[in-house]
Amino acid sequence: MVTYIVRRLVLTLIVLIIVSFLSFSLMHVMPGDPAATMLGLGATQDEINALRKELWLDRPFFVQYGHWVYNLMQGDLGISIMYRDPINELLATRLPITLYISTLALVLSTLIGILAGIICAVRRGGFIDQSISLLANLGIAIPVFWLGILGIYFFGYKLGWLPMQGWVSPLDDFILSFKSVIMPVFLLAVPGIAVMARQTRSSMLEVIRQDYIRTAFSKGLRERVVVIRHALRNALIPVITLLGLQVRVLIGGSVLIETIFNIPGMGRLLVTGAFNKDFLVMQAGVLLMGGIVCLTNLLVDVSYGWLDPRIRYE
Amino acid sequence: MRRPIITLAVLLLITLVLTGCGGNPPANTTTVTPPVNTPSATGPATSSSPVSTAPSPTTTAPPTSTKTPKSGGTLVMLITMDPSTFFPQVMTGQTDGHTSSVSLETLFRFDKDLNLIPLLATGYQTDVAAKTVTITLRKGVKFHDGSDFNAEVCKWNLDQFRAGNRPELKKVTSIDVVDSFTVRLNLSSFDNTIVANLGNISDAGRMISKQSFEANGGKDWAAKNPVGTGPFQFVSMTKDVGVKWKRFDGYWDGKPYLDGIDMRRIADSTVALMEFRSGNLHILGSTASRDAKALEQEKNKYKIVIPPQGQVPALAGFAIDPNSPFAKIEVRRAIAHAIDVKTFTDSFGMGYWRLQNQWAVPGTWGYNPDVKGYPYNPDKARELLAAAGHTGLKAVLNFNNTGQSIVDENTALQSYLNAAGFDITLNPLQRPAFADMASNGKGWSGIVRQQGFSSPDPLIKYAGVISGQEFAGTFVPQEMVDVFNQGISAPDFATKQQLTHKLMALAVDKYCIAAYLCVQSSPISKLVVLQDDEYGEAPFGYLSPKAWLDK
Amino acid sequence: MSDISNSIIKVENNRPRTNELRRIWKVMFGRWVVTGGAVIILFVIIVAIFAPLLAPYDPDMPDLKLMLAQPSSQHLLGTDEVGRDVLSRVIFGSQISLLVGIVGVTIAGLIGITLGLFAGFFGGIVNNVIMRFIDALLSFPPLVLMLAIATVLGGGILNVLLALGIGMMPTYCRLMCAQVTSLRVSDYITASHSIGASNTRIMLHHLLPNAFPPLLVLITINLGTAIMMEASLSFLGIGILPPTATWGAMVSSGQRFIFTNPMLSFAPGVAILLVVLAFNMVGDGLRDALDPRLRGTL
Repeated sequence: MVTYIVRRLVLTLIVLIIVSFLSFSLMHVMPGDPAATMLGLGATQDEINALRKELWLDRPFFVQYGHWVYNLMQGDLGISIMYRDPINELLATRLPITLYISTLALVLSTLIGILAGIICAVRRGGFIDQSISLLANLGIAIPVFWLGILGIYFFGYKLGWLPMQGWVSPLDDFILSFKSVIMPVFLLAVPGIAVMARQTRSSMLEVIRQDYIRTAFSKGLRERVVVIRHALRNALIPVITLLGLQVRVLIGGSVLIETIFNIPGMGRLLVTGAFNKDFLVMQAGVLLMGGIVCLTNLLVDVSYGWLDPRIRYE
Repeated sequence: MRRPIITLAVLLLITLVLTGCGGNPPANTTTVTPPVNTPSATGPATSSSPVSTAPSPTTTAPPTSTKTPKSGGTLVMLITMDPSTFFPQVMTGQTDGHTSSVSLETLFRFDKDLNLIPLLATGYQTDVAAKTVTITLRKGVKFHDGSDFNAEVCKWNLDQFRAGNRPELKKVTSIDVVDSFTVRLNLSSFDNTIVANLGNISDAGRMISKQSFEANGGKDWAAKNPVGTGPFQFVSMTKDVGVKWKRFDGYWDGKPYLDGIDMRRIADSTVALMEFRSGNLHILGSTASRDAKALEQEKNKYKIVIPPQGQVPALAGFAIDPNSPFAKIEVRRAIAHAIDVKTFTDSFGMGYWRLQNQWAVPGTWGYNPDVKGYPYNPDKARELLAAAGHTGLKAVLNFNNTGQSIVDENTALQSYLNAAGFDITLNPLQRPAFADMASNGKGWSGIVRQQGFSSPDPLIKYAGVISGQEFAGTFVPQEMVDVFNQGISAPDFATKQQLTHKLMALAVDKYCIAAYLCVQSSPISKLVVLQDDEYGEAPFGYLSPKAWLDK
Repeated sequence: MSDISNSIIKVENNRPRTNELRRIWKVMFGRWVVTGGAVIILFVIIVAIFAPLLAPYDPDMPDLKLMLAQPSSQHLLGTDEVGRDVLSRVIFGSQISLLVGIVGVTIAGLIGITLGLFAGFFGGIVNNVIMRFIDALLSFPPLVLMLAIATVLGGGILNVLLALGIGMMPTYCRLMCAQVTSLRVSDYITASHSIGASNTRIMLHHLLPNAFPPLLVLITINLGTAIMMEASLSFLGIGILPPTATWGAMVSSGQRFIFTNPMLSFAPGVAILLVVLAFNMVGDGLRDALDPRLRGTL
C-alpha cells in the first residue's frame, strides 16, 4: 500500500508540474502587452518598460516560467492586472465560495445519481429505467445557462421564493445563504446526477450478473437485501472513480453558474479574467483548478486502491 | 438648520467674488458663477463663458417633488463594471469617475442644462493675455478623514494628476497657491477647455484627501480607498459584487438624507432587469430601449429619464496609411451614405435616441446645423466605391464588445454596408484589445466603431482624435488640427463657437473622417420612490446629495 | 456500419456475422428513446443539408423595420432583435451545430486516438510521457480549458473548433491507450507479431479497428458535448463570431427578451436540447449494444 501511495504521489507531482507549465504557457502566448494594459491610459513608455522589467516580461520564456514557479512556491502569484490586488488574496476569497457550492452540488448529485442508478439497474429496460435515463440525459442536454434564466424567472421573479442572484456567506446569514444557493447548487448538480446515475446503473448491472449475487438470490434473500448488501457495495467501487471526474465537471460548471447567478467565485474570476486579458489571473486560476482536480484524483486513486486491493499491483 | 446658513455664506462669498472682479473686469477675463439662484447668474459674465452651453436660461432646477424629504434608507443601484481605481490620475473610462463621484467630488460639475457650475470651487477667472486660470475654492469643506480642503490640497491634487501622462492638464505648466482658498494655473498657451476639464467631464478636478494619501502609503492605497469630500464615504468594495458607501455627516452641503448607497454589479442584464422590476434596485442605469418602453407604461412604479448626453457611435476607416482603401475620401463617404441612420436610430433607439451627423450633440452650442452630412443612399455609396476602384470591398468592422446590444447594432450596420457594396466581417473585441486598437492604433485595419460619450464641450472630446491619442489611425488633416488649436485658444465664446462649427463641418462635409450616426441617449430607469436624485438628468453619473427615498 | 461490425466480429469471432449485426440492431433500437434519438439525428442532418431550401428567409438578413415580431404566418417563430427570421436561423443553426460537432470531434479524435495508439502500443517511456501530458490536460475542467484557449486564440469559428478539439482530445487518448494496452497482450496480436507483421500494420489493421467500439460510443456522445460546449462559449461571449446563426449564441442573445419574445431563446434552446439528447441516447444505445460484457442483455 505504501509503495502504491508513493507511486501515486510521484505521478501526481509530475502531472502537477505539467499542469503548471501548461497553465503558464497557454496564457503566455496571449497577444497584447500586459504591462500596457495594467498601467492603463496615460502611462508613458518608460513606465511600461519599467513594469515589463518588474514582471520579468523582458526575459526569455523559460526564465519567466522558472521565476513564476519560484514565486508560486513562495505563495506569490503576482498582482492582478484588472483588480490590482494580489492574486493569492483574490483566490483565497473566491476559492472557498466555489468549493462550498461545488461540494454541495457534489453531495447532491452523488446521492440522487446513485439512487437513480440503482433503481434503473433493478428495473432495467422497464418504464422507470427508460424514464430515468431520459431524464438524466435531459439533464446533460439542457443548456444550463438557459435553465438558469428560466429558474430565475419562475422561482425568483414570478414566485419570489428564492433570491434571483447574488452570494451571501453562510457565516453571515445562514437562511438567506441557503436560499440563494439552492438554484445554483441544483443546476450545477444536474449534469453530475446524470453521469452518476449512468455509471451506477451499468456497474450495478455488471455486478448483478455475478455468481455470488445469483447465489444470494438462490438462497432466497429478498431483492432489497441482495441489492443493498451485496450488489451495491461492490458496484460502488467504480463509481468512486467518477468522483474525480465529477470534481472536474463541477468546477468547470461553476464558470457558467457563477456568471448567471452573479456569484463571486473562481468561475466568475476566470471569465472576467478572460475578458480583461488578465493573464496572471488566468494562469493562477487555471493552475488552481487543475491542481485541485489533480489532488482529487490522487485521493480517489488512493481510496480506490484501499477498497480494491487488486489495483495496487497494477 | 445648518444648510441655509451655509448657502447664505456661500452666496455672500460669491457676491463678494463677483463684485470683486465685476468692478473692473479685464477685457478678456471670464468668470463663472455658482448655481444657486443668484441674480447675477444670468448676467453677462456667465453668458460669455465659453463652457456655458445654455440652450435654456441658467437656473438650477428646483426639487422636482414638493414632498418633504425623509431621512434613511439605502439607495441600491446597478453598476455594469467594477471601478478599476479610485486614484484620479489613473482613472479611465466612465465607470471609475461615475462610481466615485458620490465620494470624490470635482471642482466643477455640469448641471442638467449642461452649464458648468461650481462644486468644490466657487468660481474662476481666466486671463487670456497672462495665460492663467484662477480658481477660488469653497471654504469650510472637510474630507471624510477630517482634514481640510484648501488651496494647498487642491494644488497637490492637480499636481498628482499632472504627474501622469494625461492630456487634460497638459498645458498647465505650474500651479500657484495664491491664498488658502485660491489657486492659479499657469498655462503654456491659453486653453479654454481647462476649466471644463476640472468639471466632472474628466477626473482631473477630482479631489482626494492628501492627509490620508500620505498617511497610508500613497497611490496603491488611494487606488482602493477613496477619501474625498462628497456626501458619501467609502465602506467597502468587492470586485464583481459592488461598492458600498455610507452617509458622511460632515458634508459641506448638509447631512445627506440617505443612509448609504449600495452599488451592485449584476453580470446578466436580464437578471438585473428582473431585480429592478422586483423593487430590489432603485436605479437600473442605462436601460435597453425596448425595456424602457415597457417600464414607461407603469408610471406609478418607474421613472424613465432621458439623459442630456449619450454615446455617439461613429464609423471610421483606418485611413492614416495611404495604401489603405479608407485613405480615399470616396470610400469614407461611401460608408456614410450606406447607412440608413434614420431607420437605425428609430429601430434601436425607439424614440430615445436622436439623429445627428457630427460629433457635437444637437441642442448644444457646438452643434453646427449647417453640416450637410451624408443622406442614406446605397446607390451613391456603390458609385463612390466604384469610383475609388472597389467592388465588394472586404473590410473588418472592429468594435468593443460591451454586450449583446452592440452586437445587434453592428449586425445591422454590417448588412447596410454589405448592401452598398462592402464585404464586412464583424470583429467583436474585448476591452483591452479594443483599447489597444483605439488608443494605440495597434492592429487596427478596416473600420473601427468609435464609441465616445458626448461632451458639453465638443472640443474636449475631440482632443483625443486630433492629437492622435484616441483612434490613432483616423485621418486627421492638418486643417482640422489648426482649427482645433485655434478653437481651444479662442479668447471668447463667440469665436470658440464659430471655430467649433467650422471644425464640425470640416470633419464631416470636407474630409468625412468618420460617419457619425446618432446620439444614443439611453434611458435611465428609476423607481418612483427615489426622489430629487437628479441621476441621469445631470450628466456624468452625478447623483445629488439631496436624494432621498419616499418609503 | 460495416466497419463496426467487422471490428466486433474480430473481437468475438466465434459468432456468425449476421447474428451479430441483428443483435446489435436489436439491442440498440430495443429502447424507444434510442430510436427516437436516431430519428432526431437523421432529421437534423436532413435539415442541415437542405437548409437553403427549407429556410423561408435569409438567416443573416436583418430587417430593422420588423424587429422582434411575434410568431405569425409569415414568420412562424417570429423575428429576432434585428428582424431576422428565427425559424430560418434555427434551421441554418443546425449546420453550424453539426459542423462544430463533427469537426470538433474529428480534431479531438485524430489527435487523441493517434496519441493513444502510440502510447498503448509502445508502452514504457512513450506511454509515460504521453499519458502524463494527457493527465495534465485532463486536470483542467473542459470548459475552463476551452475558455482559456478561446481567450488566447480569440473568437471565430476556426478557433472555437480548435479549442473544442483540444478540450475533448484527452479522453480519446486515454480510452484508446487503455484499449490498446489490453489488446496488445491478446493472443491475436501476439500471433500477428509472430507472423512478422509490421508495427504500422498491426496498429492500423488490427489494434485500431478492434479498439473502435468504445470509441464510437465516445464519439457519438461527444458530438452532443461539442454542441453544448460551443453554446456555452457563445453564452460567455467568446464563441463563433456574429452574425453567424448558432444555437448557443441565439439562446444567450434571446434571453434578453424572455419577457416579451420567449420564442427567441426557447426555439434554439429546444434545438440544442433535442440534438444533444439524441446524441446521448444513441450513444447510450451503442454502448449497450457494443458492450461485450452485457452481450445484448440490456
